[in-house]
Amino acid sequence: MNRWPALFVATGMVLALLAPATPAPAPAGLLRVGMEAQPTTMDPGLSTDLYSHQVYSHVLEGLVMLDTQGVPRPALAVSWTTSPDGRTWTFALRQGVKFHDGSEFTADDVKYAIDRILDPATRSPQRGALSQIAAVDVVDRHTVRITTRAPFVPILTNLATSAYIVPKAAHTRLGRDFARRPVGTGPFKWVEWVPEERIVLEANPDYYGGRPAMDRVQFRFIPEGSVRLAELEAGGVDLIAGVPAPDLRRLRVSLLVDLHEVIGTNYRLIAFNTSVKPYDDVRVRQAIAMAIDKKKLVDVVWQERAVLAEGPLPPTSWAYDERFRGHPYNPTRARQLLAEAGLAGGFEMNYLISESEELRREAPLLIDMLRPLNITVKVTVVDFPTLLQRLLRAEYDTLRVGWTTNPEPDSLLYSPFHTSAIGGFNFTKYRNPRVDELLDRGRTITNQAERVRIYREAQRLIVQDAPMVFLFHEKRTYATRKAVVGFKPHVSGWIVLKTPYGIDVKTARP
Amino acid sequence: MGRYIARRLLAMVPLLFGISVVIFTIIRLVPGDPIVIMIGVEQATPDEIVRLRQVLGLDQPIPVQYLKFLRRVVTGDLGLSLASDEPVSRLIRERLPATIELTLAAIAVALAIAIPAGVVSAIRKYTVVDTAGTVAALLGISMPNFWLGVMLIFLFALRLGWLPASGRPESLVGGLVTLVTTGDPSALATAAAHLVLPAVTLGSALAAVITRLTRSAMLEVIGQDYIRTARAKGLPGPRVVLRHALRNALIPVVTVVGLEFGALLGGAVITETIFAWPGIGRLAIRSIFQRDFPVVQGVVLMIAVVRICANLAVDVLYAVIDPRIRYQ
Repeated sequence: MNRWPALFVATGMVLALLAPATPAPAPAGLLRVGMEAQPTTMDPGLSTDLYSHQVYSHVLEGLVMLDTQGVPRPALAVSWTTSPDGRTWTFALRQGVKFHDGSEFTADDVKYAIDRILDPATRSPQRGALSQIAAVDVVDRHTVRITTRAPFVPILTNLATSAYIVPKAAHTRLGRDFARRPVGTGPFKWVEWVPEERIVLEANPDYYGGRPAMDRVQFRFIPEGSVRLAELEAGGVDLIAGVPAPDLRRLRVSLLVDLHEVIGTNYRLIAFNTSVKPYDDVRVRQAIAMAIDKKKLVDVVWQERAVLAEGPLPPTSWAYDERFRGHPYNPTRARQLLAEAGLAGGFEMNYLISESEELRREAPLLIDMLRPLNITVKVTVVDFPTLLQRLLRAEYDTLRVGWTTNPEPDSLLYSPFHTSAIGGFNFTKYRNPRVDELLDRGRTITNQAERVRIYREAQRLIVQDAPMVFLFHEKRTYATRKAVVGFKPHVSGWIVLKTPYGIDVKTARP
Repeated sequence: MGRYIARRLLAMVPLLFGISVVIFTIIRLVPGDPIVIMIGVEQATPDEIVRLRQVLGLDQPIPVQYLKFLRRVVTGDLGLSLASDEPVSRLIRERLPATIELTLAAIAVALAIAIPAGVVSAIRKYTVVDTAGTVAALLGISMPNFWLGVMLIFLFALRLGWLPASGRPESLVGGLVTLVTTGDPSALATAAAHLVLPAVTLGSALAAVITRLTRSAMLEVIGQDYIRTARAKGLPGPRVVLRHALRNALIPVVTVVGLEFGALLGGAVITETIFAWPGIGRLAIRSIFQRDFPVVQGVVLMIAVVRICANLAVDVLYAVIDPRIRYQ
């Protein structure tokens, strides 16, 4: 019976054989990116998620691209002009550009790509952003004319984020397979997609914006935040998105990695259903807005991942007004307002949140903050799809959600606050004729200074009416190993590794 | 035996039918609209949602939708994913090998640890070795996968740097093929290195269960008359333990492993998420959150089929291990 230990040793030896030494170091010229989730599809007409966009925007391009400040810049179009009535946009296309399959990029491809998104049969999530387009016309081989239903200035930004150009011939030929191996004009060519594991791209040596510094890029999908960070610190990846909050402070002084943060074009909010009592009374809404100590909320729960919001426009927006203050924390004034509304005795507030650790930690703070107003907060937790459904059907009293979009103030404000969007994403059922007027004008005016004034006034009125409490703007965080050079997060919150406008991320690995 | 297996396989049909009805109905009764999630918060307008629902046939009554689904499933077509417009069967096929590899590795790890540990515990009853085994088993059962997984990554990947933290760049089978065809062991080593931590994580609870099970089964068998007879005949100790005792003690172990195979398949969800393992669990989670009905149905049906087959395999194995068991 003394032979039993031998069996243990044997087992241990088998396990040891399975475990070779440290993973091999990555070859030079390879950049490995750790993403939070796998993309859904590489067909730009069918995708809506950030992860898909993050990958295919390296393979495909639009007529226009947003630079790191969010300003539309030439991409596949070299220049554009607007007609005097503001409805016709004529784009001069870049000549001599080839798709990765060797075919030439022409006006036909532009028409095909945009028409396809506009065709209801495509069931494209991008249709909404382009729905102002009435027609796309091929003027000649290298000129395209886009006509909008009404003057619509935000079209440039929307084209940049929602109208990626696919080659007509390859897309028709590949059909559904295009979503698995896209062909574009971008700085990187498609190599492979191993489901749930990685997507590999390689440098496009003929890119008009110059050959990328990296030979290969590998996107790996690592859902668990702490593991993503461990991979970065262990050298398994070079760049990660979404750094776990508890590690932020440590990483800020790390000798191994650099931390990058950008305030996204978003706002996080508490919405009131303004069609139900007592939230149909503006004083009640303002009272709640003033009773919430946003700073405390951010300090306790969100810490360094968020900056306080005064209104819907984030500090990175070109329409941001640094002198504007929303509802400052003022519990005394809040109590007065409630008394004026005849609700000094308080009421029960039904509050809907979706499942997330942070939101569950926020809720008790809110309960405490509203208790002095005699408001009893009753929290219901549901999963996000359920919240979304109840939001769209306006089956709620108050709820906690966020709004994330492209850097256009029109995208940040129009559908949540314009009267015409009631029944859609104006889920607070907010109406203010003056705001409607401003939002309508903001779309049609090309004068940038005038647009800034319009959106600032609209923001002031919206915050005054308080259909929502604007809590904070969330940051998107990235971490890179020190060897990574030239990475800067894009204002829209996504990873951009190479553009003709000075971005060319590389690793300094020997 | 052949007729028995055929009968069991035939019995799968009504069972799968029942499962499909239940999963089809339940996933549709859960609130949350796949269309809204699909086209995104910023873009959805009411008429757009109504139109898309028509296009995808989601506006029809659930029984009608079910009959259409059934007609397609009979021909082997699981439909298209709502989120990515890809065939569900392909989505599953691409991910199933990774999950099965992980599950089998977890079972292998569990058996490799548990059977020796259980046998030693039984033979050295109430000694330090036995107590240590009991404590280890208790730990194995009590430690949640998500915690154990992250701790293992911190220790073996980050601190010691012995093993990769996550991912599956190679499959074990692919690595074997490379080794056989080109004689290059590096692919197999990569695959094995990536498999160790997830397999240990997933297998830890099972290892604990089997250790305890082996120990008690061994204790029971060792007390039997035929073991005493074997010893009295002067057979060497290890031979008695291995040939006579362990073989009989393994019957309950086989049952548990068979049943656990299905459970592990489902339990792999957490382990796959932690280790970024490209398996079926991550597809299932994402599809549930996207209310991607066809994919959820496909995954559940697939897991059901595997589980039923595992149960059948257990019953067949009984007969192999214990010649007294015969099926008609």
